[in-house]
Amino acid sequence: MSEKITDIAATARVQPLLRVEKLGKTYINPTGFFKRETVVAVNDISFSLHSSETLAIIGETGSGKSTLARLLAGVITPSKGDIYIDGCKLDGSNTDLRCRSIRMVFQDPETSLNPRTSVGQILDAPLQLNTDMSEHKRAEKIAETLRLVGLLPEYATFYPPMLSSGQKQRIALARALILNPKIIIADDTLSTLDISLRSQMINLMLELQRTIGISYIVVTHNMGLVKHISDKMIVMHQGECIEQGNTEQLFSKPTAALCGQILSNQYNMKKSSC
Amino acid sequence: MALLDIRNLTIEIETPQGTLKAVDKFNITLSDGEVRGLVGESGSGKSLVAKAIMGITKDNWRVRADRLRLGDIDLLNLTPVQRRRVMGKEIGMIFQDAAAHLDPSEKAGDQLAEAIPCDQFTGHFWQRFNWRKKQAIALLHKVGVKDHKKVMTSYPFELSEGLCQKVMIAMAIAKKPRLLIADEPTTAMEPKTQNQILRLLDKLNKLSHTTILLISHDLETVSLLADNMTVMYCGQMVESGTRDQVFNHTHHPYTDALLRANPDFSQVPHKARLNTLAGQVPLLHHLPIGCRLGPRCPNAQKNCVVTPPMKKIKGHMFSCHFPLNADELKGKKCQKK
Repeated sequence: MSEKITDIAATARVQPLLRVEKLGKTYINPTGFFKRETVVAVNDISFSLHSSETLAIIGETGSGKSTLARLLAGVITPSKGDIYIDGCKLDGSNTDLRCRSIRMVFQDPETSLNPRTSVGQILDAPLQLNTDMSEHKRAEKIAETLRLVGLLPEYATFYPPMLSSGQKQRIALARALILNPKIIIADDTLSTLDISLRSQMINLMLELQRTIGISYIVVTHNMGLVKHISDKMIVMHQGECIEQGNTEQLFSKPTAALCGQILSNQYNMKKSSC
Repeated sequence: MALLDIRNLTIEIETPQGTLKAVDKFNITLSDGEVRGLVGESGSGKSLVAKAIMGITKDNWRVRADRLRLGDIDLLNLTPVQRRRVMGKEIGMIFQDAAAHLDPSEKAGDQLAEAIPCDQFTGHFWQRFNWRKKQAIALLHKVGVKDHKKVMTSYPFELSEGLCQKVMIAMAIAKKPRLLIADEPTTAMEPKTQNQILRLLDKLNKLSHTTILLISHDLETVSLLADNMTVMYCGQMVESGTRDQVFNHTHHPYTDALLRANPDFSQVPHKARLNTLAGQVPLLHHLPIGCRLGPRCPNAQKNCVVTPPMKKIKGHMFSCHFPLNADELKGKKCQKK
């Protein structure tokens, strides 16, 4: 038995869950009749992510961290580079695989949930589109997922305006969780929440990671949070990855000067005003 | 002399489901030149208080108070015209989402120039030419914008978040108000910009003695700037005192929970469970009776169904039947309100 476990661990180490190679996105904007302007939003990003790991993407505004998250989720198509999930390359032919394994939690739950559809319908949509479960099974799955995020199955009949913002956030997470994805991308979801709610969400996310082994890709600018929840991090500046590696190492010894500056911004704030 | 004095402010909102008491008996006193932090989660009514002070209430609100004074002006007994004059001259307000509160169809510079009152003009009539523009540029420099040309000629959506917020602050201080209300000025901003805005507010307070009421949901941000702070929960004030009193001698469980929910991450083990209160903030339709924290409070007991009175010890106010750090209270004279 123990041999088997080490065996699985060994293969997992060899083959990461998500591997990204030289991913890039370039926008070409026409500026005149024949003139064109190229904007490099993301340039040559490579990293790998194992299961039950958290990757944090940090950087200033306009550094391309949101673009990178959207590229991974498939909201925009990359102009170069490859994404592999379990060694399987993602392209136009297997969008199904991407839909099932990478899900995204959007920034604002107040606007990303349709107020005129019930919670049950919101959670039903991804199941209908991506699986061939029967209606009865789908209802079971919805109830199970709602329980997983700490809500009652009765919430399926509620409409989003009836819920508080914390409950809406849980529904948004449930929508991402319902297809049993391997990776969840959270684009700036945590920083806009209230403090006690944020702690609740972090606890929930960490607990899910421990029990189901989900990987997270978190885009945020709260350094304390990055330090707490992430294993790896990528520091971006103007579309380029300037620093990448283990969170603990980067926090203690950032090599790039700019990286150190970004990391210490929060610390400075405390010092300057006291 | 207190600049702002509010006693028992109650705001009720009329809805089809009946009248909701959004803010219940709120007290605050701001002395001249102080920075006061007002902390609370969303739905705690902190923005309603700010709007009631400012006088931008909606038709279905009913604002009542025993006392609502700004310096020597009684804000309750003013005609709408007088109230508007006070609003324009004495109080400045910075809104949360600056980019959304600026007019998208007008250049930022023009909007700023419009906010400068005419009666500030001193000099000969020929100096009036281009006076507003010059004044607007001076204001932009004051709030730390170096590239004034770009800001003056661009529309709000062309500017970054931080720049929009700076334009907003410039508009608020254009009329040299005595009280500046900053309603979540730094929420959802990156640390660098947050830093700049907070330092700017600090500078305004120190250099021009503007009294600032800083409203935020983040106890940490407020603690950087404010000397005194007030914590609100569900429309009720739960604790109020100096920074040291609130941080180091906390008496209310809610304040304690807020403090512990945002710990110093360098001392917490990696990926450990964070301390937080169970449950959510109750909706205004279903407020619990007595102490509103009751159902979520870890030390709630039978007495908590009765609203706890506000106690005051050495300027530190709190309302709880079973205060934390109770041994500090022994032997001290408790003043009930």
